Amino acid sequence: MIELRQTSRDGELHLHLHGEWTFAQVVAIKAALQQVQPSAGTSLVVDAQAVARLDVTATWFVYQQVQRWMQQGYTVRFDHFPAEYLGYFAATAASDSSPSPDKGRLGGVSFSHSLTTLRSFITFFGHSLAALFTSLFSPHLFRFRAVFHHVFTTGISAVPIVALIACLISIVITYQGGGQLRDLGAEIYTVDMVTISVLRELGVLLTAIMVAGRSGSAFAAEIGLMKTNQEVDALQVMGKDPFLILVVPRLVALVIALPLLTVLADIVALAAAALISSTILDISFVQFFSRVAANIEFRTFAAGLIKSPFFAVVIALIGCWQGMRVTGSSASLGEHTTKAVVDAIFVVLLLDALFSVLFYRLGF
Amino acid sequence: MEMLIAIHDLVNQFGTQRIHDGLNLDIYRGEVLGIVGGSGSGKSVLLRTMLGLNTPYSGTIQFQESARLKQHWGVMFQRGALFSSLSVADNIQFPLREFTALTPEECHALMLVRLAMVGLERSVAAKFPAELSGGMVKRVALARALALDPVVLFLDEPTSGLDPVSAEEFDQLIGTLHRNLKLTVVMVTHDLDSLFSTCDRIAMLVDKHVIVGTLQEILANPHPQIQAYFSGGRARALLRGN
Repeated sequence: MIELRQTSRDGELHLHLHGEWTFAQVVAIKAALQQVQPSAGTSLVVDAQAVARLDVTATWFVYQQVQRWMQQGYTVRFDHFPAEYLGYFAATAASDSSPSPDKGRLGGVSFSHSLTTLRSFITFFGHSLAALFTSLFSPHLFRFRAVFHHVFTTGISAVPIVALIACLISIVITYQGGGQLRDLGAEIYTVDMVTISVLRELGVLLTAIMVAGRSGSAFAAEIGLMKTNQEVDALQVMGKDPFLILVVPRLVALVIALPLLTVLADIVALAAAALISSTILDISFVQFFSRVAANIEFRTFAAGLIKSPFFAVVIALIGCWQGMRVTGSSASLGEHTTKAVVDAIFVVLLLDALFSVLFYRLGF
Repeated sequence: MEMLIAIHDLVNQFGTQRIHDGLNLDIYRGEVLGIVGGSGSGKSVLLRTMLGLNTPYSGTIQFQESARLKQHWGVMFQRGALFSSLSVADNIQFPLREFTALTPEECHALMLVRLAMVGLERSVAAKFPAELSGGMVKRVALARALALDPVVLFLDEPTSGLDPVSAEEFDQLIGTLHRNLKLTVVMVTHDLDSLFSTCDRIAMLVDKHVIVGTLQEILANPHPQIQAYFSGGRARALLRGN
């Protein structure tokens, strides 16, 4: 496809390019250029007059070879080459400067980074609270439709999966605990064990973790994409506080939805436990629920439920905050969505531990 | 002239809405074709159909042998479509690394050449797309489209969002590449300047078909939509200048 014809004239070696000098021919081009072995002292002329097609990459390889010849002391001239191409190469070579030195990692960078992050969260928290109070005292600013929408997406559409998880975990505890207690002849205590563990801890905790995974990530991704798409900026320049429109409805909706989901999880878990008890432990439904009514106080249920609004606040705020921290790239969106879930679950578990200590101290 | 892309009886339909109805368009090798039309007339759909991103309802699109491979196409999307997780350098080198057997050094050097071609400094290479201005994104996108020295270049609104100087440089760059490479350029544009200065032929989308011709032929066409398109103040000012 390509050809490099050599002719000698007036003591000059003329190299004529023929054929299609294009990217597809790079290997052939390199080989053809390697074959030229000018004798010492001759001047070379590279001529592109007869070439059928000449693209930038092919020209660049010729240019590189010419640079090498010039370093070896030959005089080389370009004839009939597109001046623009040579201009690009000259511009590239001229700006050839050493790469900027790597910035050394400074000690304390990560410490100051975590301080910045903490400050960012505190600012966000304050701004959200301010927006929440603003909307509480001026109801016309409060966006009921958005709240209903988010109650639906975070609460009602989560009902099947939350019910399933509650059902499964209750089956696991009943089987495991019931098996152990039957060996002691105390299988009736399975009822107390399942009920207390589900109502106090597992119902609320698993629901919160599920919602953190579902809705926390969704909040971060929704707000993050709006941020990259400059929709948040658009709200701001219209004089609408983005917190009022984006954060407050999500926060309020989750504070409504999560306790309701928790109640649902408790009911489903107890029903599943009753069912399993009646099949493997010979404890009838009547026995099961009369024992629950007699032995389990209302505050056991309340101790679980009271935690869920706090978990909801944590999940919503961390999700929205991470969403607001997204910058341009898709990598950043992924990073902050991940953080939204991981941080929310971590803080939920931390809060749960604190609540346990608190309730123990209070004798609750 | 040699035909590069032949579109025959193309029908595009979304639901009951018909966008193109039996559209025929031949694109010749080495020409610069501008696709114009009002908003919603199906310019972008036509381009996407040519690129294989949209399956037509019926009709055929044939590419000539030399332009059949996707590696022979350079595509510049309207908003750049740069890979946001890669730096500018890696964005431009991506096609070089994936489709050629060049060494990393050669890829890097060729990347710098592409940057020089689109008029960007080499310090841009280390940046990420999120750190670039709108005009720079366009230029980097063009540099990436040019990475493999394509046979045919598809441009979607290449000069929108560029300042007048950059837009003119862009037109000159297209002209240079077109002259030296006999590059075929298909561009969807609203920029009357580049339409008048760079395009050899204009394909105007009217009534679900295209009307193709040189600028003079299009201007002489009595179709009311064409007359409306080119009778605005901006178009007349440019025509007087020419």
